[in-house]
Amino acid sequence: MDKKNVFSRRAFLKGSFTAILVGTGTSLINFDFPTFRKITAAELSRLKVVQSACPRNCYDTCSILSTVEDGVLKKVEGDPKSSFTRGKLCAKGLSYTRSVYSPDRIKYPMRQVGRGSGNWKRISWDEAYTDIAKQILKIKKEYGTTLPICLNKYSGNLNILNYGIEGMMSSIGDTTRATGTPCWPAGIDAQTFDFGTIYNNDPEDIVNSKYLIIWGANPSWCSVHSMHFVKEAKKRGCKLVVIDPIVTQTASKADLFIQIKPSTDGALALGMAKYILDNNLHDAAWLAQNSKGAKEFFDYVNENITVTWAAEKTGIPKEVIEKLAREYATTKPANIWIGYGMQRHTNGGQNVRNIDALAAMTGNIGKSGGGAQYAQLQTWGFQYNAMVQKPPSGIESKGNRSININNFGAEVLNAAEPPIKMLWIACRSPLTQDPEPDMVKKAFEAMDLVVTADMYMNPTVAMSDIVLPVTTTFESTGISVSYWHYWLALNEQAIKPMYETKNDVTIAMELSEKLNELEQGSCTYPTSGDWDSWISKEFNPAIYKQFGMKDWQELKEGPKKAQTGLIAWQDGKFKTPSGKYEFLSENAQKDGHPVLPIYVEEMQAPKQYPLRCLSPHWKLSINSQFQNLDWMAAINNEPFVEIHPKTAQKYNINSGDKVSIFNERGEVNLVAKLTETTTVDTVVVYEIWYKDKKININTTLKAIPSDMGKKATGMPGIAFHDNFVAIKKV
Amino acid sequence: MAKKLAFLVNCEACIGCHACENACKNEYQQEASVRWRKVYPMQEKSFDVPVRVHVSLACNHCEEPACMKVCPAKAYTKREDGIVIHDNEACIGCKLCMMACPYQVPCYDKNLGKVTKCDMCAARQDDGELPACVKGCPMDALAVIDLQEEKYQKLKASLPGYPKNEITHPTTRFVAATVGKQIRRGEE
Amino acid sequence: MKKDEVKHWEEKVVIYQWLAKYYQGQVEAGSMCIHEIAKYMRVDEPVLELEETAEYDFNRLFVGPTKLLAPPFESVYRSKDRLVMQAETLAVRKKYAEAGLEIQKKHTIPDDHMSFELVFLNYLLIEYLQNLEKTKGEKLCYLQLYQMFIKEHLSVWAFGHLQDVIEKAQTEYCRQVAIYFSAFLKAEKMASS
Repeated sequence: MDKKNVFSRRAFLKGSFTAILVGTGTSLINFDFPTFRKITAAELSRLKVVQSACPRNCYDTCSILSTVEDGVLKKVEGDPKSSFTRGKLCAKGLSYTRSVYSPDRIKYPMRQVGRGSGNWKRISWDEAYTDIAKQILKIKKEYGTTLPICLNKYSGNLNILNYGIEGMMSSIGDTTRATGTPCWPAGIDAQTFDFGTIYNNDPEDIVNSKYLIIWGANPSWCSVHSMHFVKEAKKRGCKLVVIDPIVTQTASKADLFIQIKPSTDGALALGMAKYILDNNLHDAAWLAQNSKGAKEFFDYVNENITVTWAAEKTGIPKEVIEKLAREYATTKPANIWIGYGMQRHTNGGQNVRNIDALAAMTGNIGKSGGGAQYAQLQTWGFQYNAMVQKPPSGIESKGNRSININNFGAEVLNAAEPPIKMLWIACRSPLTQDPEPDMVKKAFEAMDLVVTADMYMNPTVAMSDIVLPVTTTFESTGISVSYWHYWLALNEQAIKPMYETKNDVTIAMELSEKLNELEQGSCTYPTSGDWDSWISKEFNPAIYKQFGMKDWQELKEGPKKAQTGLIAWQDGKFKTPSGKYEFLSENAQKDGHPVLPIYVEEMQAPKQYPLRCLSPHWKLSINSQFQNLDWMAAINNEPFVEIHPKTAQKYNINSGDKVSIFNERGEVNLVAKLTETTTVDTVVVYEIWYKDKKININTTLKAIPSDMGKKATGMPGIAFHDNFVAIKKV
Repeated sequence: MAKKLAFLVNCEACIGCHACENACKNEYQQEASVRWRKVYPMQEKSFDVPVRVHVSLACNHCEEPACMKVCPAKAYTKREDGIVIHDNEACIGCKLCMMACPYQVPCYDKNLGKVTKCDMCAARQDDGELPACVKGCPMDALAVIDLQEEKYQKLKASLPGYPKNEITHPTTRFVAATVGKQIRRGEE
Repeated sequence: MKKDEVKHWEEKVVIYQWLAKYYQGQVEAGSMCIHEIAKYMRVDEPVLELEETAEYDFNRLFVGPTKLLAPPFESVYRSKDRLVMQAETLAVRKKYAEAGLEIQKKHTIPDDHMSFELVFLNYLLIEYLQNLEKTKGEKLCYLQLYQMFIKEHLSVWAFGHLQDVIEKAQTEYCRQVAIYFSAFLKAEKMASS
């Protein structure tokens, strides 16, 4: 076969392709060839490396270097320029090429004829915008307000520019917003009452700790980069203690693992506090200088807490609590990492207050190697230009209506005056992630229009009217920061958007144009703007100062680290009303919580559902993302439940058997994995969305609120881990 | 003197995150079922207490490779530096090597109709770079070592559950995981 | 070339055009595909109705948003993992380049989408026919590339793809287009050997 290019240049310089043969009397149909164009030079293979940033809801928010060859993303690598990323990515990040080029990606806007029918029509973007805009205007006319339109957007993409989605909503008037967060709000409130706000030490500072308690967190799975710093700390003589209801991967790395009865963490902290007080191991000087209400707190502890009580509550032997307390109080500096999993209980917020109190009373706040680490938003001080939009002129804004994102289904259905009639879902999948998915489905069914912006078909898209295909990180641009480390990264566009995908800001701009076309002045969202200007508008002098930059374009050379404020509360200027660390918090009291970090009883298992079902994060997925990729499925694609062998024996279950996990809400069937890493009263089902399996542990989950969350995030959190079930062999 | 290259797998540092597996995949974009490096969970009963311990295994670049012995197409060669290379061109896809290897290392690639396996990123190493898995591990739990060096002589050559080394003399060396103290709740 | 031979080739050109239109998303072009193929191969054609359900079926097979039942991409059928933009896509891109062409939607739609491959074959045939008066070398290169492309590309993956359509289509309409296309392709493959 002659593979040489035998075509001469001359042969190609012809006119159009509408071919009509000469001399045969036949004419072919007029057929334009818009699909091809002539190339006049040999295609050179162009290789370039682009700065990318992972915008997932993850502690590590990696800086990525993307290799692009001839317009195709070839591979990704961690950026060595970030001393947190250190040139490494997690298993999920490394699978990004499979996400961009999956044949399952939604390619075009489509309309479902009959929600949930599976009958989809392809529509153009113009048709999509027209349908959506008409519905918005129709609602506005009928109800005199745009409040019947509800946005449910969360953290599937935390690119700062993605706040343009909220901006899009604001620019049409007042709307209903799914408010709050399923993730971490109870702990945020707790730290807000205690410190004034959440604020953690730079995680790279962990290397300076000499005692580290990782409490209800599993960074080996959820923040792999942090584990390097933990390892380094251990090398420098740090003792690692992990407190968790199950032997997690991180617990397996501990010098000491303490298995605690779920939801009793506050009792452990208080037991430790009692021991510390009894033995005069607290830092009286620090407390006198920096705290409010220490006396009241100590009185409470002395009058109500004994280590014996704590031992009984937590299932941890007395001597272990005492030793832990002594070691924590006397080793300097001592650090506690409070996990989000730990606060997903009805008393989660209060438990975080109890643990914060430990750090405060031992004087471990504001010190390198110390602290009560939870999260920080110090590096998030952007302008939010994409988000902040004025309502249309002539509309008096009374403020958006809030409904609880953690009780979405019920609150959508109960909304009245006006009711909710339209949903916009973005960066979120309520039908896989929410409690009571049957209620969420009912809510969807009651809508006139459901619009979902997403990349893949999932149960949420399956119940939508219009799906808008969105871009991956690599096909878009933006800025990313972390709620844990202190790096700021620019995400440059690496490749052209595949098919007809668009990013959420483009969608906002184009929808605005359509709205104004149909009704002039109905939407204030800018209808144009190049990416450089969108990005530059997010920056302000404070951010430049914090990161030691003069211009955001410097980020094209690599990510930048904040230069100040890396040790939380080092200046002792707490953001509480008193300016001090508040054991006694009137703000807490105002919100209906105990004024002191006292113990609040944990939820008990009902008789007929004696097993607690924990649903923590899985190492190969993040919520509804990544498990659907082929490389992940090749590692594990079978939903399973971890059961203690003694429990399994009780129900005649062997390893590999199919079992039913159920309660009054619902049921899931899973393969049993017997393991002693859990306890006899606890089963573990990792929350993962498997694209081909109709399995969702959240069908058993009630929308039980956690105690706190309202103050800082607008709504209480959700007690994911207070789910009680029964089990039987299938 | 020629080096004797081998993988060092530090199970103590390893957190079983599978980044090494996908670092390899990301580099070579193999089809999903072809896993040149795999992260295996160790059995709980291997330890005194229940822990999650993993072993990351790729090709062992054996001193006496079984694959090389059985290959009818002479597709395997062992370089002077110890790396066992598989020649995709010569391979006829007979899968004899897959049956011979005690460690289930060679993978059958349905795209090519041939076997492929880890080659310790020989081309990358020749260019002065680390293998993708070594570079990609967030815990720096993998390394390429020269077995000639004194300090590596005492390293473990196997782990509980590993096939007998005397067959092919695998070169991979291990640092075993240690296990800390556990206070677990009772089993009433 | 004799007149009826030329007509034979022209009919093929028309078939490729209609098939390309169909795969570009014009569901109604399917009936013309069947009609032209039946005419060309001198066989009967079925009586088909184009119902609304055919569009849903078409989308379920080739477009989305659900997981595609018969993804119309060469690389999906030739790579085990059924991903797009793989080595196979780039091999097809190279073939277009040999003819001095590249798709306009380069990098946004994989080059090996069925519609592109069909348009490409159409182009080669037209060029061949337009150059019938030319020297052997100038016209045969198109013919060779056309035959090579069918042999090394389209016929390697399209049968598997069409079989998926035949098995998974929920409407007779989509199924019949696949059946006729398959028969046509068989003839093309034989003629190209």
